[in-house]
Amino acid sequence: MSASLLDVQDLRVRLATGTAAIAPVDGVSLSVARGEALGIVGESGSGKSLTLKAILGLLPAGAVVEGSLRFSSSPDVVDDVRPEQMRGRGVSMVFQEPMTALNPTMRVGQLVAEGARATGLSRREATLRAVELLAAVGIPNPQERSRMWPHELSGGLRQRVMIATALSTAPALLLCDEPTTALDVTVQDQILGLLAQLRRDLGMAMVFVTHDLAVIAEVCDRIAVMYAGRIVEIGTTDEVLDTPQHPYTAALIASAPSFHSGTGRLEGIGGQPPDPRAFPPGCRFAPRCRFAQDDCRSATHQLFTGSPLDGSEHATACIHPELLATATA
Amino acid sequence: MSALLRVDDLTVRFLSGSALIARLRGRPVAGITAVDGISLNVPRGGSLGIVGESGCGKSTLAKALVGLVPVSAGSITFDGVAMTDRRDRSTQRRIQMVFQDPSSSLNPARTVGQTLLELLAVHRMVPPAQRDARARELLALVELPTSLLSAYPKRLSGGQRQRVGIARALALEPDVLICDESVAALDVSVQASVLNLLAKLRADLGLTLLFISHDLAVVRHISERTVVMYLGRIVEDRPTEDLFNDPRHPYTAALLAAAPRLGSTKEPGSSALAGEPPAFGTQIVGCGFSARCPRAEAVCREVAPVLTGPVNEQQVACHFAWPGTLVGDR
Repeated sequence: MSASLLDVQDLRVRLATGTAAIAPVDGVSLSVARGEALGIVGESGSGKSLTLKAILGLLPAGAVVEGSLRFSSSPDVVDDVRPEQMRGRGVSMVFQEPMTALNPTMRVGQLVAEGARATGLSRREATLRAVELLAAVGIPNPQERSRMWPHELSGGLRQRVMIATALSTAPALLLCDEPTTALDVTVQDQILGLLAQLRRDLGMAMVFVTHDLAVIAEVCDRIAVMYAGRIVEIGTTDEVLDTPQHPYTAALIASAPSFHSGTGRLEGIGGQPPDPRAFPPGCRFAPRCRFAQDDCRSATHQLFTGSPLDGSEHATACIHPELLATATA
Repeated sequence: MSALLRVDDLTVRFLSGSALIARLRGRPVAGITAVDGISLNVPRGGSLGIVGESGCGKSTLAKALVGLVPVSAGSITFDGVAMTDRRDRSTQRRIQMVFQDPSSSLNPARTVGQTLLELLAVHRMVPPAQRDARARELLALVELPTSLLSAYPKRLSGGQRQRVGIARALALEPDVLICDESVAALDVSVQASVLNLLAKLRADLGLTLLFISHDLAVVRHISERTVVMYLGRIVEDRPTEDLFNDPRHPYTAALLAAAPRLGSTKEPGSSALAGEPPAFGTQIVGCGFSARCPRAEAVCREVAPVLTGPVNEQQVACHFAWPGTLVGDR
């Protein structure tokens, strides 16, 4: 895809723990087109947040990032960039915890103005721009609120401030790391609505990381499912949710209690996600997979496109997707 | 069915500032009312879901029920006996709680076995010679291998820790188990297995379950009856199926509309509920929800609605919940 805004190839994050070197993100490739919203879903420890942080170069000291990042700052310029160069190139991030991610010693207006200053505005212009942005993210009385401290705002307003801060550098790509997980459901709906509206109005692309499939289904065009540091399935939202091609995706969908499901037994997934210090060989989901065959335990990780002829890019890492298909048929 | 747990007009008020200074100034003591006149009836073996957003008082209610916060007014009756703030061990053990965060609610310096054995000893649940066997039995009950008896919480996964939390509550052979956001911190696949376990325990041991959560889908899955709380009060109290299929309080309807769900094509931001609950200590006249309510009329800002309904099982606190005089017309 030549039109892609962000192109990540074979991203690998290595961390040295006390005894062993681990790779919690192990060969992730993905691309985001202009204006597109890509969702990354996975359970804790799947490497989804680390992938985002690696893209922005926000990893702890000692972490080693391998792989290539290409970001096209304008349609005809494509740059190979290092993660630490991503910041300020039109990529911003919204974090999970609005309580801890905002600097408590800065007034809300200053927080937003700081990013605006970085785009070359004067102090006065940046202050005005901050108030505009606070209004744009739906904060009532932005003028007055810009002089408040983060702790004086409610959780929903704080998350709006964080989004305003992220927008202050006029990003072409917004990375969202579980931005609504800490919020109540009615406030979550407001924030998701705001993000969808900003995306429409500003033509921003988004990478949205969450553990909640239902949230992703609402806001994203495409979904990537991560398990044990790798993408195991990727496709459009409808493809992945309606006809999952990987047993892990299918199990995730079946695990979530739904409004229609009644009170029967939930599917669940037996066992635990693997420890990154000892990933199983072959398919990493095989030990928990009810369709696992002998050759799964030695399979090399690769994403297969089901039928490339119909132009679909729905891909799965499962080497026996037919077993899942017959089980669900 | 007679109620195993009955709560009448329960109020929990937290005082802020000094009572002495307030009295010297001749003013009432400042404070916030976290739980404001709540009444509940839970039959033996029943499962009640309590839903609401942060700050609605659902956790305070749970703590008051187990005796972790003092009650300001109202009463809790358990099996016909009034439960006061001071409970002896034998009454205390009959209502137990499973907490939200399994990593911070277990003692990190004790193995799973030590935690369980201490409880069994302090409450004299079984003769000393049988304690080891009982601890093993408890782990088996929550579907954990007995090898984990010697493990420290640090070594356990989130799901295993929450199972230990459940085993710890079950060690005291309670009649009522209160789960306060007990699956909120778990991944969805693990959450499913813990929910299955709770349902199984309820069936096998005849436990009465109070399930507190902000997650509507989870509550729907596990409870027969659901209570929706807003600003310390119950706004809707009905059988789960009825409440989810035909919410009568605008707040319940908004909660249901706001929750993202698989298999529906909802636009984000379509729940049309603006703003957030008012801050604590805000003086509220009339219905607490009126400021955010899409249906609010003048009467809502003047008169606080009371819980009413056509029958005892169907209770809603909204002036417009039951159209017409004869209710139950659906």
